Amino acid sequence: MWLPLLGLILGIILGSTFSIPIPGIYAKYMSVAVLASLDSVLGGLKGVMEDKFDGAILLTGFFTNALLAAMLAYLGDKLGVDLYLAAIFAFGVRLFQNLAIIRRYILVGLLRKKQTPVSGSIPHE
Amino acid sequence: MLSSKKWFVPVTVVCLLSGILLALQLRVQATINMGPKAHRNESLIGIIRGLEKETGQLENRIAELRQQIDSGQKRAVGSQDKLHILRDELETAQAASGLTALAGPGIVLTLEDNVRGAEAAKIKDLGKYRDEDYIIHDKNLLYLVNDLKVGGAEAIAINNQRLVTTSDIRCAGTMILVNTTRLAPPYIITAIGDPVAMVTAVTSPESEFRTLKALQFPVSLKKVPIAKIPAYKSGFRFDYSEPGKEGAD
Repeated sequence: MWLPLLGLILGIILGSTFSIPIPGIYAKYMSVAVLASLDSVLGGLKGVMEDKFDGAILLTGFFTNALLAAMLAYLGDKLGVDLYLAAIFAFGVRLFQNLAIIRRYILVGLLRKKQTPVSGSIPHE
Repeated sequence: MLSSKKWFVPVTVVCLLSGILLALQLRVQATINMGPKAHRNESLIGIIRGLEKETGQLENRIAELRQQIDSGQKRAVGSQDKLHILRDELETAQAASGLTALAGPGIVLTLEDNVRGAEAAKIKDLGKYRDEDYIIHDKNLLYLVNDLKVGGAEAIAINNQRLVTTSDIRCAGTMILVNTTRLAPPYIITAIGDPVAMVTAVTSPESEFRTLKALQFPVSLKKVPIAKIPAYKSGFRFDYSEPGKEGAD
């Protein structure tokens, strides 16, 4: 269960020890890519919760989402349209949705452990 | 939840990559927030570090080559008496020009910035406080070195930078440079010579050492039975001067 968290921490350590110089002008595209990758992580966790997880989908989604988002932001810059805002909006909304769903699953799991098994599916708001 | 643990690996991989991206982005953002000046500073610091490293390598190369010259000279001299005299002269000349490491009785001066005095002055009256009154300056070192020379110092080094005829002691920003090498406090001046004479010269009335002491700088002076002074590491340049013809006048 703790393996993904360990991976995240290891990644942060790797990223802060190995200095890969990224020019400031690319920071904006990077930020969108970061958001996309976070969205992939949460999406993957949601998939796990829903028993619909597929490793291949997660990995391809991770790369294509991050790349597409960065490219979209770049294209937007060239066109003079703040397209990266669209990417931030889309990923941001999805982030919160996925977080909410994950939270609900975890909550239900905890409740089930405490009480006698409750029949029925996940309650929706 | 999935019963099998198959999901562990992909999620971990994605988490790892996200972590790397996140950390990189955090750093980039941090440098952006520092402003363009800080950004420039960082690259300048990098350049300075690189140049200092290069200087160090070149100095090592000089030492190596001097070693080779030395052994070559020794071999060439062999057992011929006449050449032995020349060889001795050469050794004296090398010691005088600072090309050999020396050891002998001497004194060690330690100087530090007056940090405590600065704190006290800041508390007392911030308006009157002046930073430069509480740090060791290049001219302090220069005067002290001069006092040591008056006391008959045969060899002097500041923070292991051997002073030779072409040595400079100057300030650059908040740094003191000796032999164009950056120094940081504490400044340790080592001198070989007659300890008693040097102490007398350094602590004479109105000497720099006494002045610093009166201003409550943390300075100290001690005699040592064996002071060690390293060789001059850089090269000499003679672009303009040529050895004059003796007896030409």
